[in-house]
Amino acid sequence: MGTILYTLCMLTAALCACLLLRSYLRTRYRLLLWGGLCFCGLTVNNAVLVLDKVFLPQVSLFTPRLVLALISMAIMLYGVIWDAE
Amino acid sequence: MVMSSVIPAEIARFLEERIDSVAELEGLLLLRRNPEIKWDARTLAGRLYIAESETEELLRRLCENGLATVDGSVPVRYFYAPVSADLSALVDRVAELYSRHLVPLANFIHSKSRPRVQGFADAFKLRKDD
Amino acid sequence: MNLMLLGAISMSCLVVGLFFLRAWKKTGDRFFIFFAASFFIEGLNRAALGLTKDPNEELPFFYFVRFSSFLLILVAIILKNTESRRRFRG
Repeated sequence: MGTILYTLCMLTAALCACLLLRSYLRTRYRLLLWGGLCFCGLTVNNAVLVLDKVFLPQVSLFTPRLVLALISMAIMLYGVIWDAE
Repeated sequence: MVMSSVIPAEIARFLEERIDSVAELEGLLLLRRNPEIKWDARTLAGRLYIAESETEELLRRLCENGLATVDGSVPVRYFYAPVSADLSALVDRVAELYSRHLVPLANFIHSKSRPRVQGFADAFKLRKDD
Repeated sequence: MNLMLLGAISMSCLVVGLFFLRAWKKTGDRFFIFFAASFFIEGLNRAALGLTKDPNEELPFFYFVRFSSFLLILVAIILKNTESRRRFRG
């Protein structure tokens, strides 16, 4: 169940990333770039989580996943502070 | 904000400070084109294709910004009355510019009242023509 | 290390959520409320993970909360694409 839900999270994040980056290419509104990159990171984050739990149970990728999530959020944070207007 | 090379700085500043919508600009120019007519809100609303309540608000703002004034009648009637010769000349220039470059001016006014961040929400519209 | 990371992630989510709340206030577009709620929930989720003695994302609590935060985003997208043009009067 967890795997299914995390996969759905991953797909949603991927959708957000696509929509934001597609719109960025069209409008050049920088916040969309940072948002898109953030959701890219969250997509990978959820993908690696599924990988971690299902395919690599003997290894824990917890810390690398957290680092990735933090980088993603930091990018978004930078975007909303500097490039929102 | 959407900048355009066809809009001189003075006019851009005028629009930024005193005009909140395209309807307001059109209302102002309509008043100016017919200075002898004293408009009531309902008639003007009909000409601008907007609601009467919006027109009242629009006319009130024009008065506040020194572009129009009321006569003492009931219901209230408005007419074109710029408070200074400079303002009058500026509005003349705006009218002339608007007749030649309607789209850039309208875009400028729209972008001014539309927060940029709305673009973030718009990115999630799946159909590009929205 | 993990605790520090979780704390930082949680805080960033909450701040970004606040940004979306402000965007809602500025634009009136309820789309931003959903995003704000999504990031707030995820921020709280990360905090909860950090406060758990043995953080395990396979526990139903964590994956349901994470999923609900993404569900809010999906709802926002669906609503954005089904709203009529009534907001704009031209």
